[in-house]
Amino acid sequence: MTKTLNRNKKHTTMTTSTTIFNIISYIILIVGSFAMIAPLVWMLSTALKEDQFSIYNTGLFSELYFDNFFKVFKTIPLVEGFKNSLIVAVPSIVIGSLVSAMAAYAFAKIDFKFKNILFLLLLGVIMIPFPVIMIPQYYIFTDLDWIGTLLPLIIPKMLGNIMMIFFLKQFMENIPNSLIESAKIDGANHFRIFLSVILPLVRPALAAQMILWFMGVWNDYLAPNLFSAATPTLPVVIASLVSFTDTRTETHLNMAASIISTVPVVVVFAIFQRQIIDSVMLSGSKE
Amino acid sequence: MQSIDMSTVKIKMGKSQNRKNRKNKENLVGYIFILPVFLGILFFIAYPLVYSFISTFKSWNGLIPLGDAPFVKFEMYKRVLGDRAFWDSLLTTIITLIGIPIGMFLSMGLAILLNRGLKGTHTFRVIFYLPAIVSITAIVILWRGMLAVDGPLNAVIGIFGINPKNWLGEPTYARIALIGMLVWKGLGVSTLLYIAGLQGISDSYTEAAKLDGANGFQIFWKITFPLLKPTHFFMVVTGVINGMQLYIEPDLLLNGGPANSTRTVLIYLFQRFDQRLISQASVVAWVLALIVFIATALQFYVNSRSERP
Repeated sequence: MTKTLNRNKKHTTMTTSTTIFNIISYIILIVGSFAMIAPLVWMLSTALKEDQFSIYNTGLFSELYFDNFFKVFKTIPLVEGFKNSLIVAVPSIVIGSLVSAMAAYAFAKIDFKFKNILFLLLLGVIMIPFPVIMIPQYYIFTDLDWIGTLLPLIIPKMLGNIMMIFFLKQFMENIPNSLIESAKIDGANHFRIFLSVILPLVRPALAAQMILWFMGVWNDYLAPNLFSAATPTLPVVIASLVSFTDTRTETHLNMAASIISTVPVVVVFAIFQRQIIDSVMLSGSKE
Repeated sequence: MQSIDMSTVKIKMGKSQNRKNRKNKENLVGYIFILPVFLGILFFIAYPLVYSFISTFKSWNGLIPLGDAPFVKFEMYKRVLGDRAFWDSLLTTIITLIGIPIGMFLSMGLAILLNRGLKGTHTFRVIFYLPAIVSITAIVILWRGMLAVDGPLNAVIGIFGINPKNWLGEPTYARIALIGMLVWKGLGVSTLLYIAGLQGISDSYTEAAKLDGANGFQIFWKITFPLLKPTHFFMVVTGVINGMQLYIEPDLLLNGGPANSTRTVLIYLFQRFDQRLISQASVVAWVLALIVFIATALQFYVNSRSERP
């Protein structure tokens, strides 16, 4: 970037063409941003309309009827959805991340037999498409009496996340062995080293992965709808508002409910946007 | 002398014994650390995988134990592969993959603009990423409103003199609307991936081309575009894997309709599942997995061939 700036100072002709290109860039980016945001803005405006029949024939933000955001709590089981989504997301991600970090540590820093074969096995497992295993999973959960509860969403996640293991393993491989060796000389075993040396070192990477996982779990619909529809998570509650037969669905209230359901991820995103964007960019460069 | 020799031998033996013990302990610790993950794989992936595979050779309705269901050899495969609706759903799924090149083209363009060090770059990144953080169910509620006949999308295209379209009611427009929604939602992530790809390209290539008198267009086609190949490859591979499993969006937005125009393979699978034709649903899943596997392997093959000098 500084290079470009220096060059621009030297060549004035280049500066004009660069300026023109910059202006064109801004025009395209602003038009693009408009296309990305406009639907979301319209959603907010619609959620603030008092009457569903005025949705399409009144202007943006012509009404600011905030009552909708309170009304929906009475008509739609949003509180239950929130509660269920939190029960699914928080304990499973905390424990699942710890379990994944332990496995990543073992693959990165502990020498054990068949390590490479077992790691290849993990690679194979992520290639299995979910549709192949979801039907038998449904019947296994039926046998366990888990269908309709949140357990099918919680227990498998507690046993780790393979993508997270890959990511953390790469991260841990960069930690110098000397750190681990010196801790060993001080008499620490692997559990101790993992807890007091490795975990603090990988905390930023682990946190970024946990945030992305949280957003994925919070928005997940397929498995919650298949296994736990009787104890609906938030996306299942919101999806139940979509009706293909009832033409009198209250679009403005549905929009308000959808916006409320999005608040937690938006808050998380607002706080951690830099880490989230960096981790997403990193996810592609791994290949 | 003799006694000294003996003692070194003893020490050596003790050391190797010690090392062996330590090695065993190290093995054990390693296995303990990975145990939960492999228990999860065993119970929730490996076991269902075998279960699913066996069920494709039986005629099973899910109401009786799988072991009691009659063994029918390849009958269920014949039924699925002989059903026109299955092939139609496969074609529909493949048609939605058009969204991949469209999304790649748009996100690559945006990434190039966002990688020029302009002011406000981070804000634009956040804006383009926003639809990706909203749950698909909320997105669908939003788009069903946007696409209504008297909705805002028709109002906007009306400004350009285009007649209103029945986006949710006519097969062709429904497919266009579905692909449009997928591209819109995915644009943020793919733009970020292309920015990461661009940042991996050394400035020295473009600098050298500039010295040789290449213009911006030539630099893009001869240097930037080919050097982004790993990103293109990643986008196509993940796009095909996810795109072939498209389900939630067409199911919630259009219920597979109108006239089955957005019935993807997975919607077809769930229709079989709901009709308690569990074995047929499993066959669909395995055929889909095979197609995805072959498509992915093919892409890796083509990719590795084109890398040879």
